[in-house]
Amino acid sequence: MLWLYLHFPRLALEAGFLGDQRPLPQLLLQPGQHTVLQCNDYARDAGVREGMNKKTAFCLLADCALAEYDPHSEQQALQQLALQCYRHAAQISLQPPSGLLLEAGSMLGVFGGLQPYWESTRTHLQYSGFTWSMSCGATPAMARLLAQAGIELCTQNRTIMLQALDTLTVEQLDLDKTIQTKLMAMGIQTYPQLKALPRQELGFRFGAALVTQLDRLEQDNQPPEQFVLPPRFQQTIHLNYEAEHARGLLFPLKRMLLTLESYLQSRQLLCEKLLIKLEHRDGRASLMTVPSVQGSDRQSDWLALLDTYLEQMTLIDPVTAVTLRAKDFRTRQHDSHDFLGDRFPQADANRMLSLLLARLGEPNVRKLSVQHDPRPEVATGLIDAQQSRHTLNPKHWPSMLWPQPKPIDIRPYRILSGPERIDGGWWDAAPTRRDYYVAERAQASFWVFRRDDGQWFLHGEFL
Amino acid sequence: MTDSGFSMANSSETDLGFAELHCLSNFSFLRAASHPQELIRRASELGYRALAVTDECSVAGVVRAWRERKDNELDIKLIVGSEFLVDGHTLVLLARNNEGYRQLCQLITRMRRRAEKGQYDARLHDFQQTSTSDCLCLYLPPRHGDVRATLQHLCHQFEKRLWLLADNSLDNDAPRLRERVEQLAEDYQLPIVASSHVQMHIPERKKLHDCLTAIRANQPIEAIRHQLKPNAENHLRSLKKLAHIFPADWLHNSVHIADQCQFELDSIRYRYPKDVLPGQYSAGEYLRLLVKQGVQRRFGSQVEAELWKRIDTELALIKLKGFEHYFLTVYDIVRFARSRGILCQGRGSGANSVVCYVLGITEVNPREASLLFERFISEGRKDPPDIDVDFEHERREEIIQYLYEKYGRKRAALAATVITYRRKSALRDVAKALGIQVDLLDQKIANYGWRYRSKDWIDEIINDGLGLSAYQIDIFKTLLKEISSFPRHLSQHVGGFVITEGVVADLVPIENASMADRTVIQWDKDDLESLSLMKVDILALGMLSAVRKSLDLIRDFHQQPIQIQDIDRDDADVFRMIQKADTVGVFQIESRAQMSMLPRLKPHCYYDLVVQVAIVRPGPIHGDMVHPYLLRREGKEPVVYPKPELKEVLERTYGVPIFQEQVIKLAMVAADFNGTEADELRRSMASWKKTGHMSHLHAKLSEKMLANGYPQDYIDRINRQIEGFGEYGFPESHAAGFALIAYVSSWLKCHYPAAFCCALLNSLPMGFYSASQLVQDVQRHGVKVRPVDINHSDWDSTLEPDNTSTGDAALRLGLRRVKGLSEQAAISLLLYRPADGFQSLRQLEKIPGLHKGDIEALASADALAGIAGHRFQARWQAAAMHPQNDLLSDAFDNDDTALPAPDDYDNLVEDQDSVGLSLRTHLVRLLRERDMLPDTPTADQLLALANEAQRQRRGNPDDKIKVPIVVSGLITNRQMPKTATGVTFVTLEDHTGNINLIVWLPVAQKYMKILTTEKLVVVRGVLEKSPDNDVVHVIAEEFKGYSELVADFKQGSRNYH
Repeated sequence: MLWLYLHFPRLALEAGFLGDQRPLPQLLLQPGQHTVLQCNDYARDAGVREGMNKKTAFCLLADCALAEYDPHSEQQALQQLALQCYRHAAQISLQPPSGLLLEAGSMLGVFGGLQPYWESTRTHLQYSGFTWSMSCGATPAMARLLAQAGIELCTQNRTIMLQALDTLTVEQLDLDKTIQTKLMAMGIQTYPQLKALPRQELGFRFGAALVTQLDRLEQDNQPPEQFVLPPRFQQTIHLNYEAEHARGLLFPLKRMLLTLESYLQSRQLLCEKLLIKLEHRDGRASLMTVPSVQGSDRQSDWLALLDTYLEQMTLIDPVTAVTLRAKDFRTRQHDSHDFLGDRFPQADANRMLSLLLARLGEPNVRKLSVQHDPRPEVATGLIDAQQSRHTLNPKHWPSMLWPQPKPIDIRPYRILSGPERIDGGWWDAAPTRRDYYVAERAQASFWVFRRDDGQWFLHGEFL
Repeated sequence: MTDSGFSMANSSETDLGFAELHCLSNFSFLRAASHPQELIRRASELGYRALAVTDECSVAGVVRAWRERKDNELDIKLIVGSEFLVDGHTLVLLARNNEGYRQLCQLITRMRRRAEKGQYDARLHDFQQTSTSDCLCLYLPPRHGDVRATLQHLCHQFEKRLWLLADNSLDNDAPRLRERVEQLAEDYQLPIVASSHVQMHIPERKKLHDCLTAIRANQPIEAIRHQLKPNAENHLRSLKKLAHIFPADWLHNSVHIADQCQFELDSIRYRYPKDVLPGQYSAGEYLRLLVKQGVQRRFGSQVEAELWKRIDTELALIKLKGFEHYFLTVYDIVRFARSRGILCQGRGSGANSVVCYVLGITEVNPREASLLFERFISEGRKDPPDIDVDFEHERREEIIQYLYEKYGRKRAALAATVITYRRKSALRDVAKALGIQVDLLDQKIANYGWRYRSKDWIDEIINDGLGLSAYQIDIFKTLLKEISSFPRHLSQHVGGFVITEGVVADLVPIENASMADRTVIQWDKDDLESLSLMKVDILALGMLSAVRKSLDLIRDFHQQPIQIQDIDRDDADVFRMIQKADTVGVFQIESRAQMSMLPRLKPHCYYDLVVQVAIVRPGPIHGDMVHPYLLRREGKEPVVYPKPELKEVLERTYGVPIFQEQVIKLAMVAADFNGTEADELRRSMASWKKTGHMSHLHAKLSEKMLANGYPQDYIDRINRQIEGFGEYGFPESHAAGFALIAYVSSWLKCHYPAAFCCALLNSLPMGFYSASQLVQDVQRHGVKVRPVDINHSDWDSTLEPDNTSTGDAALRLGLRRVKGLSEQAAISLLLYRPADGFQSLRQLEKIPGLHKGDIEALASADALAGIAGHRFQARWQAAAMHPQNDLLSDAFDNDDTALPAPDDYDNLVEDQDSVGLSLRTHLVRLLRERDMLPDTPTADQLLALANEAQRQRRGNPDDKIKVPIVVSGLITNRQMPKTATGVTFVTLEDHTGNINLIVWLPVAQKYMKILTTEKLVVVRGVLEKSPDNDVVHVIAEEFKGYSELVADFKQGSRNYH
């Protein structure tokens, strides 16, 4: 068998700086750790290296961009890359944190040999924007170690591979750190040195795991350590009848949604959007997109949503096949509503929002939000429907404020209560000091305030 | 802005008297935004009748407020109290009288002692179980929730001593809270007292208050807006405003309560412990008796009348000040130490007396050192003299345990150290609060630190390093200024013990320290001093351990019992060695800065060492006093005094002020400071630099000196010197004690180099140099050093007879040098070591307590070379061993794997890694032998080169000698001293010694990459030397890194095998 290993040495760094085009040294750091995890070429040019003390690196860089290590975005980037390589392997194995293992042997026929396959993969990766090194290997471990060491072998020749392996040092073998240290303390620094030692003596000293690890490096036909689900969901059902009404599609969709549910749940993802393709008898196709704001992995949720869609839909022609594709996944967040069993009201609100969004379009739906801030005009406002909310203890403030406070003459008003003093907002350059009062005029209650300079303003009305 | 609306009837404004009874200072850490001093001053300005400082379960801030009031004679009453948060309820207790204060201290102690360091655990029944009969209680109901149970409990507990607090904060909730309080007052028939729940002295501190809240939450302000106060009302509000927003009787109640509080801090009675007195004597009699015995011991029976006269003077002064118990207590501790064979040495203002000398508290005979006791005990000072006693660092714990045993944990406790915000910690915390990425800030700090390092580097970072707007920059700077010197938390003092006749917790609350079984009081040494409480400093000093171990080795190995008092104080050989700066390992005068001063100052007597120890410090350096001192000492500049009256003050240092005491005395003579002001000056040196409330002393010093005819330039220098003392104060009284230890350690190094080095190795970590540097130094002095060996080494390093080695003693490295070998395993190993040594590795398997890891550690240290071959082979074999497991022991006996032996480089690296030093050929020499490094002059050739150049040159003989040169070596040290901005000191090591490089800022910037990342360098530059001394250094101009070479070497040598 032939394996191709793709190693992304700066995956986390590059995922963290996606879209940052500035020609700056970039460092990836981890809170609480004193060393540089990853850095880009600008930083390397200035003398920075991975594993260097953070302080030393700081000394070397007059100006630089910093990011914190985020395992989640790294993981996502890896999945993204797996998606991109999907066409290049019969089987892809994620090798976290930063590698992909491709079963290459069975693809050579498709691509017309190793060299075209290699080139095609290369070209493909160039679009990814990530730094990589890749190598072939007769075993998964062999391909991995070579790629990680930056030795890019495009060959099926086992002898060449073994020669390349012999140039590796003990540090490059991905051994357990304790074992690595112990080996080096015995002067065993290279792979050939290690290989030459009697295996049973090594096993006696370092445990069976080391022996297994070494055996796996050169012995053939190792299955990959891990099987992964295809990164996207797609299923087509050809109808053995011609559906003439949209509601008639419910049944096949129900089945596919069930499969989707198990797919999503085994990957622990939520789906935010479904793509449904209907193939018509006359050869045309209809496409529809079904978004869900909250995201879901449940058949019932999607079914309820689809129900409304289908209800208002008129088919242009009878349907012969239905394809369901799911994209736009995100990871599931365990919110406490699930556990407390009071998920319903929230779910209803979310469903309502989804419906509104579906009918009115995203730009036309806004939410009223309250956030913590002493300044009333900052505390309440409209936000995008998709933004998350804060919950607050209600204050005795009017529920609606005027868009702009209006200067007034206070004389016609009668003060009922106050002052409520507000002093804050200095942190975002809008320091505000005001005394608010409830005032009455013509049987209506108003919310007025006085500024430091004595000027009065009308800010809201109690309805 | 005026207030209206809330104004109540009854504002007849007859008497606007008010006392604020609920006020937090910044000693309620991160909850309040003003110093106690600021609060009491502001309250006084506003005409408050009284202010209660009621920090959260603490009285840590009250002494400061008290001193502020006293120093400035403020007309306001200070009430001592404390706030407790009990299950969401806020209680404030005020001390009504001495007994009330005592109860408060006990209560705080109780709550603090059962919680983690810095925390407290208050429960409602505490107020019952600890008597609170003389405390008044104010209760602030929580915003929500049921209060009935709590109130009922309190009504019962504090009958007629309970008030409800109302703190109208003008926030959204205020009207409702007010109704709630009024309802409770009616329901429980309780009076209401008005308060502002003060957390800052002026509203302008609101930003800082928000910032502190964010720091406490460890989140940026933006993220915790819900925790911020909606406005700045929790400040000391004007009486007019208070009258507007509170009913008059609520205000009157505050005065009524304040009138009941009659406790004054200085009325707490400190009593010296009497335990040190044998029954029949008074303290004075007993001290005199001990002094008599001591005189006999120190001087024999023939004592000149002069000495007795001086002793009488000292004893009279001690009696006058009432210090007898203090001296007796210190004597008792020292006596105990001596009985245990623990070396100790006293220093400080009280220690430089004949009394202390004859009591054995110090080995410094003040008569020999022209030290005058009176000089150090100022007339104006009421507080106890300061005696710090240093003990062997490894045995100080025995002394501490003795104190706890003798006085009990209730009568002895450690003083606190208030950890305050410094520039860097303030910068980090404020930045975090403002939402600035901390790593980015660190990057800027590191960068500016290297590159630009001007005095205002923090300003520069804020201005252009972080991408802030002008508005943000302005706020950032203001906050930094405000937060600086804010207390952050209490920590334990390094060794200041408070010992009392009664219970400590009657005087001041005690809380837990981070160390198990350690407790600290809530006051620091300045607070103690303000209230005249006695403190004894029990400090740890590594060098004393080394000296004691040296003396033990000299006794046991050389058969020469020597004691410190026997050592000749005028040994010319010792001073010759010191003048050459041959002082690696010696106490105090071993740092690079000290070493470059020694050949210039050329100490030739004990008092010179006192000066030497004190002169290489920020004070004299910032005051530009070093150079004039040296010139005058060499007779190149006449000894003149700015004014004749200063002669007495400055005579002993050629008219140049060097010591902190001299500068204080100078202030008294030249600027007419009285005793109190001089005292204040001493206390305030730390804050001299800052503007603000200290400036009146600063101004007075300058004005008076100018008026008295001193030149402005001289005044500026004195001011800078005081600033310098603030950074690192170093008084003569302490230098005197340190100089003695410096001398004794020099004497040991000079006459018993092997024993001294051995003792140092056994006392590490301590001092300035690594084991590797100490061993290389002793080797250069002709002492043979032998490697760690399983059959020859003890746990400690030892001496072995060898007549080819200096002093006939070779140094054998001990097993303690082996990294990863536990002491227990080593001791077991030594216990089971056969008389003729181990013959095979297998013998080690049966030793109890010796684990595989220990054997591997020994193998890597090459300590098994005698029985198991080279270290790689030994590791291989050790890895197959199964100590204490007979079943497996024979399993793989026929393994004949032979690993290749380590090469020179492998051995160097392994030695360094597992022993911390190598006795093999130095890397620089190895590389030279293989022609891989240029053949540059070595460290030991530099002086000769410079001298040769000096002989041959023409021109002005006073000019510095400069020779272009190329040198090479391993970088062992990089230093950017605070006293010299713009320069980096780099030390290079080769096989012959050390080369001192001076790297000026532009060069450092240019070669930053090499300086920070390379170990092995070749440097082109200029060799420099002054014509009148032997200090040589190289001014670096160009660096070349050779680390690649090391890699090549490694490769090359491996191929060679």
